Amino acid sequence: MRKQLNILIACLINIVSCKSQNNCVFTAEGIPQNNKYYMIGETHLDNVQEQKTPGEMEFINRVLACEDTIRRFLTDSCNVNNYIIEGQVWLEYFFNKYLQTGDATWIDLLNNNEYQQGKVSSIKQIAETHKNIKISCIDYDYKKYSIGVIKSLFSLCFYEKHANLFTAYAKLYNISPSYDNITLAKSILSKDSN
Amino acid sequence: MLFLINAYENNTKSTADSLHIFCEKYLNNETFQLNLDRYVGSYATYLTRLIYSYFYGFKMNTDSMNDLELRERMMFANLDVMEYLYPNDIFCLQMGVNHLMPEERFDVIRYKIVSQKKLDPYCFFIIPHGKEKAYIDYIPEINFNFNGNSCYRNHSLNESVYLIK
Repeated sequence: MRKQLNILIACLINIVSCKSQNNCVFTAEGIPQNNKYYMIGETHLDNVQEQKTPGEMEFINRVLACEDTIRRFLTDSCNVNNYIIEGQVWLEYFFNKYLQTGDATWIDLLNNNEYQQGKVSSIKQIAETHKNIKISCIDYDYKKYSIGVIKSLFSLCFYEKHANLFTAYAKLYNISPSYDNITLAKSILSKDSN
Repeated sequence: MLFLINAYENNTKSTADSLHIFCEKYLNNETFQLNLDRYVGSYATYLTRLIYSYFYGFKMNTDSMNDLELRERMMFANLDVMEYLYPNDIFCLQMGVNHLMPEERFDVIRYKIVSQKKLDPYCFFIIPHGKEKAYIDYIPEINFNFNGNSCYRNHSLNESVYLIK
């Protein structure tokens, strides 16, 4: 009986440790729960925008799992609600659109940035069960021709003002809704100028 | 607005110039700024931050470390704006490990929070196993015992280090 129990416990430990391969060794001990600021230091795993190997992806997933554990603790126990990312300000619009709508096309621009996508997805999942979660970006843009800034300005000036037209257009032509429909923007502009 | 459509479609010097002129006008012409702010409605403060981050950012030199100080100052200024806009929010900043160095000699965003806001952020360092040497100056003796694929150690009262393999 005792032997059977030991085997059962050993199996159980094995199952738990296998399941926790991607889990983070984390303890809340010693972490203050009433701070105004918390910081997570990362090593920019997406620096090169290239397809990653399965091994690299496994590693990224382990890092993301660890960060996710920390974020959930910060949200649940420390009331963190504003996640500030070291990304250019133009990204903030798209990240929050994804948070609000759940539509992953808003973060399509992060192709081959699986780590960055994973971070944003983790915050989005937290936002599903917590109110007032937002993402802010505080970094600067270094290019004079910045497609990101243009995309963001374009969305504010056209999509935000005429979101219903963009949705109707997508339905009419049976295409996925798109915030960067240039054809529609041109027709809106020509109607406005008439 | 037509320039936005052109800028979207063509990656040319002239569209880059147009974007720059547009942002310069926004920052220097009060009437233009007011009209555009009114046009974008609830996104007005975001628009201002977006244009600032572009207009003052692109001139910085990213090839050398020359503008690192300026970048930290600008990010910190942006953080101030966030705190002003959302005074009741609790923040978690996720940045490269180097922005979390605490000493005066680095004068990065963490140090600025400590020295200027008189607040002490709690910091989680997440470091890939094998890259420990890059951080050995600040976090010596990273030789933890792994249990699974990650391990951690409290480094100080307000820091913990996670090593992932």
